[in-house]
Amino acid sequence: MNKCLICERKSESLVCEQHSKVYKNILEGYELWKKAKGLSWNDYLSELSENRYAGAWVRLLAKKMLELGIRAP
Amino acid sequence: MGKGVLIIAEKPDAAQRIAEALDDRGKPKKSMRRGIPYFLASRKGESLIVVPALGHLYTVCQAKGGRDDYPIFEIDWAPRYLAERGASQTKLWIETISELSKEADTFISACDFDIEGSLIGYNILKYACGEKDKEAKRMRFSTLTERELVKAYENASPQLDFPLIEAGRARHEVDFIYGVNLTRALTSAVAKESGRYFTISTGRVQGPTLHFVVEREKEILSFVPTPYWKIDAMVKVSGRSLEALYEKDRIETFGEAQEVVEKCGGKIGLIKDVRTRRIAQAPPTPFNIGDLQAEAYRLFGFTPLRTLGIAEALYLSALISYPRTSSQKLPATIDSRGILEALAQMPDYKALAQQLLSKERILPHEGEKEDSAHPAIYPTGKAPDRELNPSEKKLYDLIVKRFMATFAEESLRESLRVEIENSGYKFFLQGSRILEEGWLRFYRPYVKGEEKILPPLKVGQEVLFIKVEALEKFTEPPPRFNPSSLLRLMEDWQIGTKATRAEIIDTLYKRNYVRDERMAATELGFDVDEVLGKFSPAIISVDMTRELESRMDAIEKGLETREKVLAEAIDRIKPVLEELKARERELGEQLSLIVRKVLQQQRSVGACPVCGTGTLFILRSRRTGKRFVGCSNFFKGLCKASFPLPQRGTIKPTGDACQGCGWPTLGVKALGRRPWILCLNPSCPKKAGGEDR
Repeated sequence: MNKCLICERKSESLVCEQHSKVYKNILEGYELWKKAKGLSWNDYLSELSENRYAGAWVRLLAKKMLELGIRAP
Repeated sequence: MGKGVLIIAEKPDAAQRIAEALDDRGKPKKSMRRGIPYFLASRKGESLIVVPALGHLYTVCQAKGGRDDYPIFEIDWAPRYLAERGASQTKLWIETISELSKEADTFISACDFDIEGSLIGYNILKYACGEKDKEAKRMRFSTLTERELVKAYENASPQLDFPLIEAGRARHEVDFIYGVNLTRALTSAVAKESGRYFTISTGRVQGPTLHFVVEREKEILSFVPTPYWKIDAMVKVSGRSLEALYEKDRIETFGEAQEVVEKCGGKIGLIKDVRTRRIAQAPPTPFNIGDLQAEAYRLFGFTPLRTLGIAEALYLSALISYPRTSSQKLPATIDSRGILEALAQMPDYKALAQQLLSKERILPHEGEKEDSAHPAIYPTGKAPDRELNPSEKKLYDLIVKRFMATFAEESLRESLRVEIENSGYKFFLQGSRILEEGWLRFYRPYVKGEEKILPPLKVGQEVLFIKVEALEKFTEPPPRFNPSSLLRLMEDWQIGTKATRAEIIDTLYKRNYVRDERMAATELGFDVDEVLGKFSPAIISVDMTRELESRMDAIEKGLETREKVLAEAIDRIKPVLEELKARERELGEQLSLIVRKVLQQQRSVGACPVCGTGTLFILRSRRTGKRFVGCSNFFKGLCKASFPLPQRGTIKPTGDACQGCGWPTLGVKALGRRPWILCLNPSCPKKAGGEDR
């Protein structure tokens, strides 16, 4: 059993059910960023983790995914 | 000689206005009994006693059982002083009205003509005056002006407005049953699990309203922006530099944006088309309370509750009509011409009012919304008989100007669109000018009516692009609600009433479920919403409360009975409460975690400036029972920082650092002393002789 990367609650996957939307949004967003700027997955996560319009949960999750070296699915 | 006429008003100011209007000489005698004011007036040989209430003097309460019991479905109406803490003053009002009622043989309710006002009058007549509700008459008015009050008295309805009263009773009873039972269910679950008494409140409208804020906050926290590019272009034409708009508002890829920059920058474009269009803009509609609250928030930053309070004060001064209205209509009966003639006597409005009076027909541009009880908000035309405070002045001016603007002509604007081609790409210049001001003139400074005049341009003319840049932008999350936009959303979803919505928003702040003007859900708000959603989704669902609202509206229209709607409401809430009771332990566990977290936050003073890694907390010594501030690293043996605290009064962390030394500070309130800010640093340079501010 893992802990949610955002709220540290028990979770089967990277994030708990409550935060599954955040993970989904990050994945969906990558397609748009790749098309717009031609970024790699890591560059995308890096930019997202510092983007001022990104939600706080998004910034936190992007940073942790980057630290953990989680690859694009 | 027969007995007199007892007139019940809703508030002391209204009672005085009514007495002054009805007294033959306009000078009623003000009397006091037990410190409660009332007015003795004489009208055509009749003795009138005008006595005010103090808002609701009676309230719903449980018929039996203790204050922690739930579910409670047997309810009653009782004097507020018996049912609520801190309502002891209502005893004197009830006793005084009761005594005065014995001196009368005719009874009239002259409370505000709406659900709450009708209920206030009914309860007093029924309980304080001894079942006089059946024989009492009803005065109906929308302003506290002499003319309207006299008319309302002389044409009083022979009986009370029972559909409104029944709707009001139903609303209070349903809200009591929902609010008390749900709040007790949550509070009792915490108490049984943790032994702590910590009120976690929710209600029929409060739950869904909090849910709106939480859902918006989640959307913001989960938002992934998308990059796009915007072309920032300037052209030089006829000696002037003008901003040119690129044909696409957003460019989705960096490559495409770069291509536009490279191909168009520094080039000459050609004007391909020049088009003008005339746009007529209708005057605004008269204010209802929601429109007024939104406009006052936009212009002055007044919260909806503040606007309502100011509008009430203006109404009680007979300066505007009754503000708690949904109507956007101004019927002919209000005598708009007469009001404009009166406004024309006031220096600030003279010129504008005279312009309107010169029109042959004075017809308002009305909105769609109606209210069977009151027209839209309008000024009475009466000059203020007291000095208005700055906020009242602002709101009054807004109401007067909006009223006048609704009678004005349309405004007419000419817009100009110039199409320029550059390297196969299209750009546009946009200009606009006002041809006829119309209503804009009457609504200034609350409407800007800006113009952008372009130089003369013609097809075939050359234009130099002096700047073409691609600006990287990002899509933005939806905005947080503010009290005004949340109130609008409640209106759109038809939850709450025009009288209660602003108060419910205020309750969310008081309960610490939301914070800041741009409303962000707090951790407590998030947790409460989540737990409610998990254990009983119906409580936070808009559907259930909206359905109940429509059933209660049916009572007001005389289409349904209070008893039936109340029984339906109980049928809806019963399974919810049974579910909460059945899962009380699980619910208690989750809520106790929330409570523990909240209490911990309340005790957290800030980062420890001594060790730099721990957190300072307000603690209590097990040995002496005295409170002090200590570091969380103490138990790890890493930090021994501790600071003494005053042992009397309440202490709360301010969240602010001391301006003298940067250490955490606490706010202290003690009986008989002015509240002060305490800096924890014993060597703080701001402290003189050990004293704090």
